[in-house]
Amino acid sequence: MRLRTIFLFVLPVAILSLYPRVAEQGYLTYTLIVILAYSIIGFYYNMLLGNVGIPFLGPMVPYAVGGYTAGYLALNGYNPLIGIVVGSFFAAGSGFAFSLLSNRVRGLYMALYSLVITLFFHQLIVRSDIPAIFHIFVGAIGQNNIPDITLGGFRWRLGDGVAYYYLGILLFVGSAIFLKILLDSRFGVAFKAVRDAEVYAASLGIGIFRVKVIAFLVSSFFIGLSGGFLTIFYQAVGPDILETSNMLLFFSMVVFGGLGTFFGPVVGAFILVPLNNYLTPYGAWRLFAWGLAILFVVLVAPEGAVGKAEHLLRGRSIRGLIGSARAWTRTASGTSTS
Amino acid sequence: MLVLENVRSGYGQVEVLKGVSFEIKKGEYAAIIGANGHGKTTILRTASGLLRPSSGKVKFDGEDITGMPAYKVAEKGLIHIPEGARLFPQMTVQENLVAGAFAKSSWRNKAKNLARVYQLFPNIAERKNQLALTLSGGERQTVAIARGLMAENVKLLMIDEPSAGLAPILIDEVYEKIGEIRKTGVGVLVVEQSPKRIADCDCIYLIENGEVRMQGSAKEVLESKEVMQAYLGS
Amino acid sequence: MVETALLLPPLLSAIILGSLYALMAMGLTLIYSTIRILNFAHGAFFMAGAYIVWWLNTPESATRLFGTMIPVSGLQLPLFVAVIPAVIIIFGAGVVTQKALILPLIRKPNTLITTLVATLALATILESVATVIFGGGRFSYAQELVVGNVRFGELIVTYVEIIQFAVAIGVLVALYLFLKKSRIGIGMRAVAQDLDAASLCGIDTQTVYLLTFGIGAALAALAGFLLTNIIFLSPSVGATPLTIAFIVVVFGGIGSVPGTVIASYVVALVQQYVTLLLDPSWGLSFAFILMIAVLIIRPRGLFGFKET
Repeated sequence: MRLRTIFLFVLPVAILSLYPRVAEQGYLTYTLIVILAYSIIGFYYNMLLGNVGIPFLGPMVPYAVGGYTAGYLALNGYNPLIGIVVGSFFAAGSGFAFSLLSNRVRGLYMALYSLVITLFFHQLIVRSDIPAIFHIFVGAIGQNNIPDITLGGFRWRLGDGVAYYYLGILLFVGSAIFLKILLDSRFGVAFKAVRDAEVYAASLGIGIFRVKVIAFLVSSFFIGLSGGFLTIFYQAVGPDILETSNMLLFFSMVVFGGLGTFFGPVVGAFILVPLNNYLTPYGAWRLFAWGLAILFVVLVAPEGAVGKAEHLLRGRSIRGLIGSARAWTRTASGTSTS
Repeated sequence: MLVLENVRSGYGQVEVLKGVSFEIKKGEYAAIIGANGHGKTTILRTASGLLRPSSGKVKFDGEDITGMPAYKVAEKGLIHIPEGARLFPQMTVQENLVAGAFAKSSWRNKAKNLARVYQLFPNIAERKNQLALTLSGGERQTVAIARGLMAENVKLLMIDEPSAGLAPILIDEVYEKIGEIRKTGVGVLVVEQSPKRIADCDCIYLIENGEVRMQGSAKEVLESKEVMQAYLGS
Repeated sequence: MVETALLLPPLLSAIILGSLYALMAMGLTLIYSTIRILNFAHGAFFMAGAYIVWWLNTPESATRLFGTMIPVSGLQLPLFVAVIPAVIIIFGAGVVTQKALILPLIRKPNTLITTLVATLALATILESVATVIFGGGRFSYAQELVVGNVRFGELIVTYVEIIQFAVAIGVLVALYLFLKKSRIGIGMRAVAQDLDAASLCGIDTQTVYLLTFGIGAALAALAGFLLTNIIFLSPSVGATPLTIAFIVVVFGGIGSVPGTVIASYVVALVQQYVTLLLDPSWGLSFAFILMIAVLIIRPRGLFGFKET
């Protein structure tokens, strides 16, 4: 295994695993669990957006499907862990439905359609008279009082949810390894081919649609997995997860960290989740600060934190960052030509 | 009139022009020839401002226009008629022509310029309310040239492949019109594939691999060994 | 069977509402067709325009809510006067947005996603600023634009509705003439149809971009003013109009002006008749379903162009 992988990946995970032994604060455990879960979402949304290049604006749907399914099953007496697994598969199903979209449209139209369909979905489940098929979504109230996991004979919530913490790490590591294997395999190459040169790839015999379907299936599975996990952890879920504010959250994770990088979303989650929690008591100012931060990142460092770090490591200096800021002011003041 | 000094230009990482220099004098009739992909269109795009040279200078009428945005270059009287006509498809012929007179100095005189252009190209006057995308290839080329002439003081007209995709009789017409345009004192630079049409040029440049391989009078260039080689079979 | 008398009011509402939808969606279409980006902050411009009018118009006496004072200018400008600076200010906001946000991103890779994120972030910022300044409560304009209504037999039309319709249609017609005949309008159309050729015709594409974004934003602000005469104003008031605008442009074909107009009326008709036949909450959902049908049959919308 390469030294960089060891340093960047194995070491932090090992340290994270020891954490609950050392620390006492439940709040930090809570935050870390959320960070891990969001990292999983980030990994796979980033894969879809950055590696395959599909401007998909509906990641909240598989998240919701995974979450609601897990909650529903747990509320009805099944082991919540089973609920999470089943939820992931249903989430993958919703991803499959979206993949059909990718066969009809791409680019801007894909973005628009996926967004509007997601908004539609949100509208649909908030109704009180929803069609039976959406039964598990139980309207605007959402699900509450979802029971805890009780594997191994004890409630997992004991000890500040340490058991959840370890499950979170397990899921995180598992999904990260799977993603790495996937991207290193011929699928990863196919993803890039679809992103950069679709027509050429098709001419080489790569089944474009098949690649997109797989991309949607895999990413939706893991996003749903995270959704199910978080739903069980929070013991509640509601239709607000389908709102555009959530989309902004998912987007910002990917953008902050770096579209197309591997660890970008993790960095993004590590920055955004605590930021979000820290700013919550400030009400509307939270959203204001957030919007400003995202704007700043997109304009000055669109390659994200990891992208910038990669630049720095390649010999460029802090000047690079200042240079980007300067470049932005230059274009904004119109002193360079079209 | 138009001077390129050691111009290097290209698209992103790909450098196409590797140091091109030439000068086209006022009122001259010049041509650029060469095989496809060697930089003929890139020269025009760099001169007109659509592309920015990575190094070198472009000067027009004594003024340094290196890096100047395309719309300003057009206002100076250097008009580029791009390959494939590039008309505005959803606009009528007349609207296309009027668009060509966008520059403030041209807009004031647009009625006059329109009349002048219709006189020069009577066959498009008939079609003035027709949508551009319904025109035939020859008509499109004519409208494209006419649109370029709608500018107020055209000093040099650069036409990229005026004969592309046209039947010989139409090509004759186009070159006839070019002749008429030249009579008004406007310089013309054409990028041409076929050496036959440019026999009465003052000066011809052969471009190969992004460089000026050869230049000279029409007679010199067209009868040279290099051109024979380049156009073997043409 | 449904009586004819029952069928007419929804038709009337659809005509009025459709005109407002067209006004709202037009800004989105203009920006996309010329600059090729999707402006997520469109709904925020709608909201901001409405708030500026409210701020200029509402008397101080009306602003004590739950013990806290909501800031107003105290100028108490009449509504039809207040709308003018509001539209101008939002026009300026659009120009600034284009210059500061969009322009730097167009030159870089991944434009679609980065401009999406940037405009979404801008929308978030505008909404949060509105919440901070005015609180999250719902307001309405202190007085009606015009009081009264008119009867045509069984139909009642309020003067407000007539004004909404007249202003929306008037502005759309003016926009049409502007695009068709004026120098800048022709320039905008040229840039939308062929960027390079437009530059070669002497058209300053950067200025066209700025104006286009400004006009798009101004249209949203105007739509905001008109609609807030009949709905409540809040920081998130722009969300539904934005959603409707998205449906309209998807259905009509983004980038097509006639498509947008036609689609606006179709969506409004569907909404109104579904409301009549089922109930109001299904109205929007049916418009969505209509859009899915479009997706299956003709993905680029009625008049849309193929994605190049």
